[in-house]
Amino acid sequence: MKYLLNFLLLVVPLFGMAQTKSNDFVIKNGTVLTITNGTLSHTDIWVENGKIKELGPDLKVPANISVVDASDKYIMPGIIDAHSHIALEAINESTSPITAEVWMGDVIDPFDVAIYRALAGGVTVTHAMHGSANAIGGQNVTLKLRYGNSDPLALRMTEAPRTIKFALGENPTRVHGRGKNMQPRSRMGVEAVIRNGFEEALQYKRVWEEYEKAKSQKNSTAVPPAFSLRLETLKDILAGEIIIHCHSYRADEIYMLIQVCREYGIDKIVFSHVNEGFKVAPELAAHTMGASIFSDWWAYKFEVYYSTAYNAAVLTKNGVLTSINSDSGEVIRHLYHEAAKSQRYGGLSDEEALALITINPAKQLGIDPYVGSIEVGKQADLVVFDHHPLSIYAIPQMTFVDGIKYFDRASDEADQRLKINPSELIEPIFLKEHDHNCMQNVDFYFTNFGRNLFEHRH
Amino acid sequence: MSKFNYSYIISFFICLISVNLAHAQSDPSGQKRITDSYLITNVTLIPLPGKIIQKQNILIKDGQILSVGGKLPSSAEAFQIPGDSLFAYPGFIDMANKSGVRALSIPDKEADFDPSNPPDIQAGIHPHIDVLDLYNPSHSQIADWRKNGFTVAHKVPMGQGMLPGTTGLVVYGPPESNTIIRKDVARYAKFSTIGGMYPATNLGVMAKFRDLFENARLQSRHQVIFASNQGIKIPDSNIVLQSLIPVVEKNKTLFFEINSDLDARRAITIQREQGVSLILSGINEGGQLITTIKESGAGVVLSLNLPDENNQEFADDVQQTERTEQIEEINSAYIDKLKVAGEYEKAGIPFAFTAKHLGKDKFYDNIRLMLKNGLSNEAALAALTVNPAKMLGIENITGEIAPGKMANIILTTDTLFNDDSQVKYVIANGYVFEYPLKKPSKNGKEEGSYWEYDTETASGSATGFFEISYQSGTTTGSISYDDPQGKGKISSSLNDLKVSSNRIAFTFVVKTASEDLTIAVEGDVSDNSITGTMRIGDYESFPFNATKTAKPKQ
Repeated sequence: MKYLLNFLLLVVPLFGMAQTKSNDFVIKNGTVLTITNGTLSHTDIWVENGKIKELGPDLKVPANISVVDASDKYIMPGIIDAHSHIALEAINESTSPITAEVWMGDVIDPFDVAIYRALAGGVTVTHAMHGSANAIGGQNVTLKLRYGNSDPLALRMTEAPRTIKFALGENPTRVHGRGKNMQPRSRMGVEAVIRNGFEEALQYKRVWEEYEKAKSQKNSTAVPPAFSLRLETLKDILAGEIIIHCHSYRADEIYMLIQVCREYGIDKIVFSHVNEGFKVAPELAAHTMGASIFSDWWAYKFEVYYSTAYNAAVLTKNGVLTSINSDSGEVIRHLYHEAAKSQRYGGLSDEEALALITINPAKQLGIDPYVGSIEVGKQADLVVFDHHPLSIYAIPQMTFVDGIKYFDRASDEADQRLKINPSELIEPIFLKEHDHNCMQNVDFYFTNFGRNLFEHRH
Repeated sequence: MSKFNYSYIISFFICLISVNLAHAQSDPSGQKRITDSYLITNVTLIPLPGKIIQKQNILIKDGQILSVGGKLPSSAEAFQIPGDSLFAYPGFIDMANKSGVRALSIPDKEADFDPSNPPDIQAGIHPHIDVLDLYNPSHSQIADWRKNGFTVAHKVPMGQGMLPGTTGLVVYGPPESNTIIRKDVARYAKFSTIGGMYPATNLGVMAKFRDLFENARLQSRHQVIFASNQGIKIPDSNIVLQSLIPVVEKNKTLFFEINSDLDARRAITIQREQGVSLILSGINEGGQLITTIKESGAGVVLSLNLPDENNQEFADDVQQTERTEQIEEINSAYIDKLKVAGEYEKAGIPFAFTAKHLGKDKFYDNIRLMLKNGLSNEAALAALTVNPAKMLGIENITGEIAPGKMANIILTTDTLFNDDSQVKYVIANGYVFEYPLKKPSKNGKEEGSYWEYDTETASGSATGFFEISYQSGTTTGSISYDDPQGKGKISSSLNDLKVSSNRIAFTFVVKTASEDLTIAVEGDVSDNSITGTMRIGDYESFPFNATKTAKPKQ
């Protein structure tokens, strides 16, 4: 049964995105939180062709360039959410413990109004992930929130390397073990599924290499082996071409996968959620691309009870590359608050706290050469705040992606939907039960009204 | 004694024949055929979109058009159909239709069934299944579609799954005749899954398409090597892959049913990645999608199904300004849907139509809505005749009225999409189907009509009268009912009143002690009766029937 909320949206005709688009402008006299190079006061940011052309006080810019006055305003790099499920039509292909062949790029939903809401929270990049139903889930896609495009692939950040979802613990064992009576039924089974997958990929690789070698001989009559997109993908993981983002909570399973990856020579792995990460911080620091965590979210199922709001601080102080993610269409709107909690719990510096939602997730997604800080030459993904973003009073005023303004609080309309249902005066808003979350498309899921209300998806 | 019997039998037969002849005058079944040769005389001919010729004679024999022209051909044996005051159009072609097709019966799952790796047949992957093996030409819906003017249909498989089977071409002649034009026209594909097994979502479906097409190529390569060399392992003969080889080699089209903008783009992704030839069927969106489709070169089949116009009401606590704005927004979204066909025409993309998901009674209404919103008459006719014929590669057989083409013809009482036009004859593969004409019900000929209705609601039956008046081009009405707040009858005026020759819809408001209830009535009109439903607010629907009656004198 679906909970239905008749949500009355105030309706004003859509404002055209085109009218706000401009690639060349200067943001004048703001307090610039560069993340990588300290805080610069009374500083201008000159944006040209979607990139940051110059940075400094009183820049000499062309006379007719458009100007955003940022006196008394704070500018930070666009917020990057390393674990998100917004802008997706489907989340889980939960029918097999390994679905490495599927790709979230096939199900991007550019019309999802959650994109606009995320922009209103200063987010410019999301890592649109497969759900956590399978030990090895699908390949993710990194999105730039270019809201207003109808072409789903226009949202794809083409510079981003490939990434893939893994999942440990209760979700894959519940879906496959308890739900379908197949492997994995325990944490041990999860490890076995992953190892078997890697082994099969090695065999597949050898068979194809032998075929390619035979085929290159003169007058070859070599016949091709079967093709498997699933094993091709696993092969690419082993070759280091794909970054693993692994859903995980408990220290034992995190340590297990670190060991498995070391055994197979994989060093491109980020752990997601990682509520017990503080217990294996040195190992995470030494062998992984870090942890992407919740600020203080816990106790929504058994494996998440051993948690602490000091996780971000403990991990950071231990040298773990750490980010804070939303995994939610609601939390994504205030990730700057989530980052600020690391100051209340653990006393991180402003720069450390803001890095949790900017340059650190950028590194974990392999996109730090392009985004994640305010530097000359980087893409102009910028957020203008009225207060310091770590202040509880901070509200994003404008959000730019590639130098294009996609959100402006001054012209925020009541209805920002891109697609209007022609027959339904009041479109039903479905409270997110099992259909819409990290376990979406998974028939078997426990419910939690409050969490589902806010689309929390882990 | 024997003599007596003989003459008795003869006279019996004479009676029978005369009865038959009498019925041949009006024969919606097409079964009682007295000849296979017909001559339509003195008809206004629209042989193909954009062309009109007066006073033409069309001679048909053996299902073919023998001649078309102004001179009356000599044909003593031909049954004559006087075409004076009639218009002859080529029969319509439905580019994707499931009427009469039953779903494939799938074998039971084995005891060791593994949902992560199910047999293809159970996972909705059976592109080799012939749709025409599952087709029943006697299905009643086919007669309904023929009555609308459809004579040829591209039949697509029923049921769920991403590759449900082949498509096939049929003509809507009588079921006893041969109705199959061509088998195995294309491979049908859609973003659909069985559920409970792999693939279950569009994620799995996209991956599975990639896997299948690549393995079809490999199977083909293996077969080629095997055919021309010694000492080669026998290739697998996977029937699914085998049936996809012509697709990857571009000898068969992938006929893709889509339901949304994003579906269309996904199908185009497959086309681009796999280099297959693609027809997109069921398109119901325009806008930025048009550019993408145009660039892809995919065949375009638009859906004839249109959304329902908004008829919801706001709660009382919503501000009036918000209501107005929101109603404007939703109405403009609705109009946008009506404009889609016109947009594709303007973009210079030739398209066909599919009646899939469309109620047969809505066909002409929907075409007229599109015509009022930017579609030209020529493009509409082309989308139902020459364009689908070209897309299906049967333009040499049908799609226009010309000698040598199949005798697929519609004879109407007025120009085709005119409000008052009615289908008098449909000729499919040379078989003539005649339909009784309805008397025109409005346009000044009548000043109004008076109806007695009865309806059965949860709280009992209710009766009353309603009246429709036509005055100087506008239609108004009122309805009487039992006063919920008192005794006796009161009446309300009818809102949103829509009346066509076979359909009526209106709403009215009943004030009760606690709230204003909006009652929505809609139904089919035939001669002197209405069969329909009545919806009270958002609650429930109840049957609503009415018969025409004389207005009581005041």
